[in-house]
Amino acid sequence: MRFQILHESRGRVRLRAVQASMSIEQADILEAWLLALPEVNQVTVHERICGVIIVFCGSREALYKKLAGFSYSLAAPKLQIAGSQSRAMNRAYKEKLVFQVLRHYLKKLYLPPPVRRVLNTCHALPRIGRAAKTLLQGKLTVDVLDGAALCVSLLTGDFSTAGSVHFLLKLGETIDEWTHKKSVDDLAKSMSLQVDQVWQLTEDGTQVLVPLEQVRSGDRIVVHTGHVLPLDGILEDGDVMLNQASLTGESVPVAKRPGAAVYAGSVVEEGNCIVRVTGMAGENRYDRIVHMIEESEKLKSGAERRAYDLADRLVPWCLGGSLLTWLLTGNTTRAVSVLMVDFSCALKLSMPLSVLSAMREASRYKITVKGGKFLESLSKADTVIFDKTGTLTRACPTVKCVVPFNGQDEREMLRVAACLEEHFPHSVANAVVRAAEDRGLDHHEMHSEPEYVVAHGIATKIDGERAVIGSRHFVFEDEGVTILPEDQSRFDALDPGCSWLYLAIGGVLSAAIGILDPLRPEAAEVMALLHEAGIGKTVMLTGDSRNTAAAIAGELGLDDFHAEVLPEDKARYIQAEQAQNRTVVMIGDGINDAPALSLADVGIAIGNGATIAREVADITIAAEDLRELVLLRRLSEKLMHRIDRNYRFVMGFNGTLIALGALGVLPPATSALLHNSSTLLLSMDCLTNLLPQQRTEYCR
Amino acid sequence: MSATGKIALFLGGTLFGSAGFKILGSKDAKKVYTHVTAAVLRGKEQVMRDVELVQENCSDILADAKALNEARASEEAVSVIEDTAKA
Repeated sequence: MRFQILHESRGRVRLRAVQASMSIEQADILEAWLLALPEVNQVTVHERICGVIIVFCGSREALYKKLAGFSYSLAAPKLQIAGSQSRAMNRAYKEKLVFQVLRHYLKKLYLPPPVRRVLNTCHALPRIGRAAKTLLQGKLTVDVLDGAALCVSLLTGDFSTAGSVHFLLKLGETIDEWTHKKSVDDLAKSMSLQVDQVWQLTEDGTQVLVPLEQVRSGDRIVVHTGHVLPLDGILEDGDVMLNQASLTGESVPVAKRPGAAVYAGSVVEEGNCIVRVTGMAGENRYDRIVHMIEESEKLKSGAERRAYDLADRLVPWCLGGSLLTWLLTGNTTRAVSVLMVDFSCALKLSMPLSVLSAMREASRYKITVKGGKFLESLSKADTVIFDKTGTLTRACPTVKCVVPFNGQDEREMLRVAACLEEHFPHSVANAVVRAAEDRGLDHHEMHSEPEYVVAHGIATKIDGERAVIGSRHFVFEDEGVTILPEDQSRFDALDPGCSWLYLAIGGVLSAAIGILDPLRPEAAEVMALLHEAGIGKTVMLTGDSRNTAAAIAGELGLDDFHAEVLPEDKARYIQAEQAQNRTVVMIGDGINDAPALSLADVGIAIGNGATIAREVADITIAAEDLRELVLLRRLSEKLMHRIDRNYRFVMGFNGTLIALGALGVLPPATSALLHNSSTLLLSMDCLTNLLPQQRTEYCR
Repeated sequence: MSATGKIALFLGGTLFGSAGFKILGSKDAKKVYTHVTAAVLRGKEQVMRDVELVQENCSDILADAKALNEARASEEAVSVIEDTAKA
């Protein structure tokens, strides 16, 4: 496509797409395409004037070459664009804002004063009415304050003040609404782009893993224990216990039988099922996320709630203050200028905006925060508890070796193990499946329905024989698996450096799979940084053996560790910590971490772990880097600083305005202007990033 | 006002009362309204375009200003005599 270069400066270029007009869809495509380029940091597309501003690094010529090869029709199918309504929304709000300002000043310039007076009165009346209504309900809110200010200015014949108060209030409302919608939208957009995969049941009865987008209405999908139903549908086969907390708020799971309608967002707590899809992925997914964020905003942080309480408590003081001023000085102008300054809207606006903006900033780092409350808890956290596998260790343990027993074939055993493990979202399970793939072993489902024993292993039947795979405890003690005498010496010689997974068929040990699970390279650094950031205690809880756990704890410099723990032990440990008045953060990834995650003050799930972990967690982080934890802690601390600063600024600045108004230094219109513009500026500032701008991988 | 003037006004009023509303509601008049509305909408769009143009130009100036400051900062960094004294 042709672009005209309008302006170039270092690392930035402004272009004009050579086309008659650009539609909103085209603008979205162009923006998404550009952002997907590795060298591009930031893109702004102004579709009205076909303008494109690109901030990039690297070679200008290379970028231009790529741009020349761009075409809407070629780029569109490869891109995933979420929430097409956001550009239209921004456009509408921008227009509203511009015309509100234009109308106000045009009116001031061209309308004759008598007409203006009538108009200003008409505008003010609904607000005064609303104030009277709230007052009659026995409440003293910001509305009352605004209404009183307008009323007094009208009664004293100060129509221009009434006009500008109305204008500023209106402007504030528009900006408030816009910023709020935009923050929610930004957050939802970044969240809805996470790709999900589902098991689809093909015609011949095999299961294949496909991206969610490929599933059509009428397809059959298989959902296993611990997974979230990705789409609406009808239960076709399997009895399951469904947790529909995200839909109904009821946390007790309900039993569903074939033929029942099931809804996206419910979690399968027990059993496996086949669902015939009735709804498709797409729009409703975005809407659901928007809904979820709006829900979670109700989990306002304590700081926000305090701001709200304070705001409402300040209203009577403001009213009283202006009344007192009037009684003392007998001067209405001074009384009105005190009225014009209400702390409340500044507090009520800036606090939620700060929190939403921090949530949006977190989402830039692929961190999803489900409510402001959790950022606040995180900034106060004293204890951080880690799960080992999948959290402290790399998300991808590898199969080091397969030792066959009972005369079995090594490759065949890996094939069976992979076949069992592939249904379960655990990093060790993933490793087995990957190892089978790497060795070119493809497997068809040969077993009956697998059953997942939390934190222990999997049991199923192959050709009528019971097959179990799992930990030593599960296989030998719970299942009573025996080892053939001729295998005993080889069994004793298994390398203790690996974690072992045992596979038994028909009650006899058939293979041991050695899993090597290297620690994440950044883990030790993260522990040091967390201590530096004021975390008093780092703890590891693991189901692994004591020896392995002790070695890791020493290597990472952990303050405490507990080995061979069960899920309920993890939860108990958290309760014990909380009983000592400590704020606890739990980080985990598996189904077995779910109880602990929901119990902790802040539960953080690793992005590629089990969906149920992500569902119950308060924050999810991407799998690549544990350093995000440190980042999150810094972000939460900075957010708290910002909120503190907002308090001080709002109280200090507006207090000064009130004093000046009472002394008669500032006329009402000026104090209204100063108050409102300071509120707007503060709100704008609350929307800026807390942490220094991150550059893309390419630019580092 | 003279008598003729009053009569003229009266006649004019009657004429407007009978024919005027017809004209205002006629097809041709509707065309005029459509054109006027279209012109208003175009005007609105043009205002928004102008706003965006101003916005883009302002961001150009800001970017250049930042680049200028960076260049100055790096120039100042260059004009330093390196400390070569050996301890």
